Amino acid sequence: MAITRQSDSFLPERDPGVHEYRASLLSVFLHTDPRGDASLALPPEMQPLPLSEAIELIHQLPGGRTEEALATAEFKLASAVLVEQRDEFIHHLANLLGVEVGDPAAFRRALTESIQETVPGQIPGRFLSYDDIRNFAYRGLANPAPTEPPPPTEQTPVPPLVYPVYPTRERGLRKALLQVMGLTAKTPTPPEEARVRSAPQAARFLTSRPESTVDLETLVTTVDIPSESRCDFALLARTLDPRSWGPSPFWPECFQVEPTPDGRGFVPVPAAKATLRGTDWHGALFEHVEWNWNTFRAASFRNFLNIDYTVDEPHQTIDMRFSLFSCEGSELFVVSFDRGIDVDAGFQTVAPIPNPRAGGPRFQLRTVKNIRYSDLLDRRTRPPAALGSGQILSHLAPVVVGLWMNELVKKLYC
Amino acid sequence: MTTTTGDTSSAPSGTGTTTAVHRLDEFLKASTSFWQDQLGRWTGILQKVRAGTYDSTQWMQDTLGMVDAWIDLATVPFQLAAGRENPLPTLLFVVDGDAEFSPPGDAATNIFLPPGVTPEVSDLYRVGDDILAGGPPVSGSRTISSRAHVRARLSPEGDRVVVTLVDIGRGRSVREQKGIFPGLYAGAVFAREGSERRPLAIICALFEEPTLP
Repeated sequence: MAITRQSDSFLPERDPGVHEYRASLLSVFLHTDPRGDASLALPPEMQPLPLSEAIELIHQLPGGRTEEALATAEFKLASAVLVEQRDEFIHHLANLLGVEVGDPAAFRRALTESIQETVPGQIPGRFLSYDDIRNFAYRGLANPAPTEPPPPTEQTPVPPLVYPVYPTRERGLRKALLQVMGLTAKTPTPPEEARVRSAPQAARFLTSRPESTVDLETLVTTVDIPSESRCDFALLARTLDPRSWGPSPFWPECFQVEPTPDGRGFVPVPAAKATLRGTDWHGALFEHVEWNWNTFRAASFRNFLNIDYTVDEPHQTIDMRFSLFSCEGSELFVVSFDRGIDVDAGFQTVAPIPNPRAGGPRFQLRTVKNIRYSDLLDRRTRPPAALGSGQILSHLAPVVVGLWMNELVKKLYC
Repeated sequence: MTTTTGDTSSAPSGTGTTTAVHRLDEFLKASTSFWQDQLGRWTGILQKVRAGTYDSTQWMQDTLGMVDAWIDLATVPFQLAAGRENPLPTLLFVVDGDAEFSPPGDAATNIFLPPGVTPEVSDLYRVGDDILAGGPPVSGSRTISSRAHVRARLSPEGDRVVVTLVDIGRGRSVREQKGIFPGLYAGAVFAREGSERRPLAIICALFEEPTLP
């Protein structure tokens, strides 16, 4: 497929492959979440990539982005197949992994076994959770400890896009599957008919709680991700520090700020005045979060957040609380708005697991984020749009925010 | 979100002057400021020409400035013919129990402000409370700190006043820590020009009961 380069005037200038990386992952998240159907209400130019195109695009991403995108897509598709028992995604997962499906039941069984056998510290026979799959998909990623970003003048120039040749290397879930099933890499088979879930499978699905929920009355979306980590505490403290959210594909800008003397605004905190990453700090953070609807349309928000980041090294606990101070604006549908979100609050906690199993996780984490998008319409101009149409983003929030949160927590799997 | 605060076109006014006198007075004031501007501009031009420092960029700025001034003067009769002055806007915010931030409310300013003037905001006072009473409030705080929770600014063109409510907090306990209790609050946005306080807008904010504890 033709890949839109970043010379598109509608796209902000970003590192090579960033727009494609974000667009392909949003497609995976939207198509694997039933609530992603709300994207049908988006204008045609904002429609996400078809899932098959997104998977193809992932294999063509430049540099290390393929590895990262593969891990995220593997997690999302494997969760849909194994945790939510949704057979209609089996052929997409197989396509992503570059393996043949054969019997879907055998494929799922082999997939489950491959994950259970390769994750140390797992209890045999236990149903796989989202965290199990996330742990398996992300543990192979290179997660360097976050460092202070270089000043803009020291950043290297952006090289031209060079895409690797499809198919991908044998690693991660694909490698494990090939080992367990004795399969060889061949051209993926055509999609098979999705099978109807059996009653026990459906019952199992009902017991697995989704990680994101939306309150249809208040339209507040809550993403709640419990997870476990084997990482070193110091690394966790640096990774979870909100100042480490960016620069990254979804956070082009993210830095600590302080109020101006007259209290009317904020200015960046000088590097000499800021505390080290991974240590206590209380103040405000500017975040510029950005994502792609597809390869030729992006959207973004700019917010100021209140942050309370507490690191208790002797007790090996971390407590991070955040809330929205103000939203400075957003760009959606190629239009700038003076609003964007009006709820953005939550917390992230880390506590040690007492008597951890050998090779198993050492820390228990919980990440909770509540968010609500502002209504896009102020009804001051004609013609009037349909009832509730200004709240389309809130209906998509479980998917979009779920994607952001996965980007944050995937750094916690060592 | 903008409401008018009464029609001021009727005559005679409380001071006994007729509408005709009032309009003549307005026209004289407008033309006086116009001639003052022209005199100052031409004086500056002549001084720079004599000093040999008058360049094409300055000429362009002066030309555009004079065109602006002429247009302003030319529109005065139309403004007077409309028979009304701009009303003082009221910006009403309705904040539900979950919102941590209220998107901007904005309205055209009712007066023309010189560059460099920034709007100021009073604290928001809960309607129905006796703000002059001493001692602790009957239920919750009587005021919302404008410094902590209200932002007011002018649009880049200086013709609109823009107000947002920030850092409101979500949930009853969080809001109470910030001194925000359910109720209807009122406050004022004004511009300070020397010793003069020029009203720009009335702020009304209705805070609903939080849905979370």
